[in-house]
Amino acid sequence: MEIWVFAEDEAHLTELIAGARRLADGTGGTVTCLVATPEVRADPQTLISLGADKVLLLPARGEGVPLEAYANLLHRELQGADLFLFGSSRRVREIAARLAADLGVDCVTEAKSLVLAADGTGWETERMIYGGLATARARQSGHPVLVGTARGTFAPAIATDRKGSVVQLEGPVASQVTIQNHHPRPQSSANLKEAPLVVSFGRGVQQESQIAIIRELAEALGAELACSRPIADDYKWLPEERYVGVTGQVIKPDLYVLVGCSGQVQHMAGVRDAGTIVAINSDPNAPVFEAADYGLVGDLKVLVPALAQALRTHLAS
Amino acid sequence: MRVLACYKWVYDERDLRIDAADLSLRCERAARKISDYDLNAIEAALQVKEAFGAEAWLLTVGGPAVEGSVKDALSRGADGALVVSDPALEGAGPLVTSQAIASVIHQVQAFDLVLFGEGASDDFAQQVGPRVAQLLDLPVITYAAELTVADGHVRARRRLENGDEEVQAPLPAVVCVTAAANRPRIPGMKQIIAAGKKPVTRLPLDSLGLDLPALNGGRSTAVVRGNVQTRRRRRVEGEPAEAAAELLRLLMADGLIRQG
Repeated sequence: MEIWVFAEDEAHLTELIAGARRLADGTGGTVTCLVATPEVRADPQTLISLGADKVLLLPARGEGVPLEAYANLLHRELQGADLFLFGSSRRVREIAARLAADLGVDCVTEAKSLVLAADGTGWETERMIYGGLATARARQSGHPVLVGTARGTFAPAIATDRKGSVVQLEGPVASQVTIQNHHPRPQSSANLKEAPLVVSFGRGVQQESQIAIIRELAEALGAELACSRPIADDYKWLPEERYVGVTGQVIKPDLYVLVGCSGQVQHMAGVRDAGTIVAINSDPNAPVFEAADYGLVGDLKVLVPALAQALRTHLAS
Repeated sequence: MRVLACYKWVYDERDLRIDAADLSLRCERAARKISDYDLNAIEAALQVKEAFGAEAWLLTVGGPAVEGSVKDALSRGADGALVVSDPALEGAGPLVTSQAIASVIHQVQAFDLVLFGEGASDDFAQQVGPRVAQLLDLPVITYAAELTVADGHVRARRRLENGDEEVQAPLPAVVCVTAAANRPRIPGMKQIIAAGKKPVTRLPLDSLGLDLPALNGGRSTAVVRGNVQTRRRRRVEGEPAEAAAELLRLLMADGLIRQG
C-alpha cells in the first residue's frame, strides 16, 4: 500500500501525513510526501519524523509559473501510488482534477472522512452535497484512488524518531498559464475563521448605511462581522473574504447571529458546525428559522439596536 | 471567435426533502435549474460575445431531463446549443461528464474559449473544467473573478485563499469563473420566445466514443443520506426590548455571554 500526500501549505500537509501514516500502518504501507517550495518550507527530516517514509522535493519553478504546473509532472510520478491524498486549497484541487483526467480515474474533493474498506480492496469516502443538505458515501477502487480531504479531517501529527529518505525530483516545470501579478489578502479573514462570536447579515439589509446597526451589534457583542455572498460579491459592501458559505468562508463559531438572511443552503453550509445560531428575519416563514436555535421575527432596524442596547446595558452592569 | 459555456442541469436544492423515516433524499417533486455558478459562465460567454462579436454556444450533457434546460439556457442570449442527453448519463460524475464534454469539443473543434462555473450547485466537485482542459491539452484558469480577452490571450484575476492573482494564458483556453465574475442577466419575454428558434445540435452518446463500463468501474454508486438539522428552532417572542432581553437570558444560560 503506497500512499502519497500533497498539500499547498505546511499545516495541511502535516495533517495529511498524520492521516496517511495511520492508514498505512494498518496495512503495512508507506507514506510518500510531495513538497513544493517555497510554499512548504519545513525541513524534510521534520516531515519524516511526523510520519513520512519518503519525501519527494518537487523541482523549482521559474518566475511566474504557478503551483498548478506540477499537474503535468505528477502524473508520471503517481503511477505507482495506491492512494493520492491531497489538500483542500483551490490550487491543489485543480491539480488533483487534472491528474485524475490524465489517469482516467475518479477523484473525490473535500471529503470529510476517508477509511479503508473492510475487505481492504477500496476506499470509502463521505462528502457533503447540495450545500450540506445531504452526505454522499461512495466507495472508490480505481488505481490510484484520488481523495482530497477538508481541513481537520485527521488528528494532528505526532513526532517520532522515524527514519526516511529524501529525493530531489528533477525536470522542467512549464505552464501556459503565467502569473502576472499577485495581490496578497489582508489578514482580516484569519480573524473571522478563529472568532468565537460572529454577527452576519444578508440582503435583508437593504442599504449600505444600515450596516452601521449590524456593526454596532457586533461591537456590543465583541463579535467579528460577516455576510452572505451577494453582500460581498454583488454589492461589494464587505470584502470578499468576509462572506460565509459553500464558496466562501466555512466557519464554526460558538455563536452565529444571522440578520436579514433567508438561510439558503449555500449560506448555511458555511456555518453547519457553529455552536448556536440566532436568526433575525422579518419573514416568519424564512427557511433560516429551521436552521437556527433561536429565532426572532421582526424588523431588523428595531430588533438589532434593541439587542445591542440590551447587551451594552448588561455588560456594563 | 467562438466561445462555449458549459452548464449542468441540477435539482433545485430548495425543493429537496429528507425522508424522516430513512433519511433518503427525495427528489421527485424537485424542479430543475441551471446550476447557479454555471449562470456566471453563460454570462461571461455573453459578455465576450458582445465585446468581440463572437459567437457564443452552450453545451450540456446529462440524462434525458437536460432537454428541459435548453430553452431556458438559450433565452439568456447565446447563439445555439449542443446537447448530449442519454439515460446512461443520468447522475454522471466528473469523470464521465468531462470525457463527454471533451469529446464534443474535440468533434466541433472551433472554440477559442471554453467557460465553466467554479463548481456545480449539487455536488460541487469542482473538477469538470480542469479535467476537460487536461483532456484537450488546453491551459486552464480556475477561480476567475474577472476575465478579459485581448491579443489572442485570456487574462483573469483569480480568487485564491491567500489573495488574488492576475494570470494570462494563450487562446484556446478553459476558464472556470466564480460567482463574483458577473451578475447573470435575467431573460425577458422577447428573449424567451427567440430561444425557441435558435439552433440546437443533439449529439448521440454513442458518437462520443466513451467506454462507459470502464469509466464507471472504479466507483460504486454513492449512498446519499440527508443531514438532519439538530437545531433547537425556538422562537423568541415579544416586543423588541422584551425579545432582546429574553434572547440575552437564553445566550447567558448557554454560557455564550458572560454574566453581567
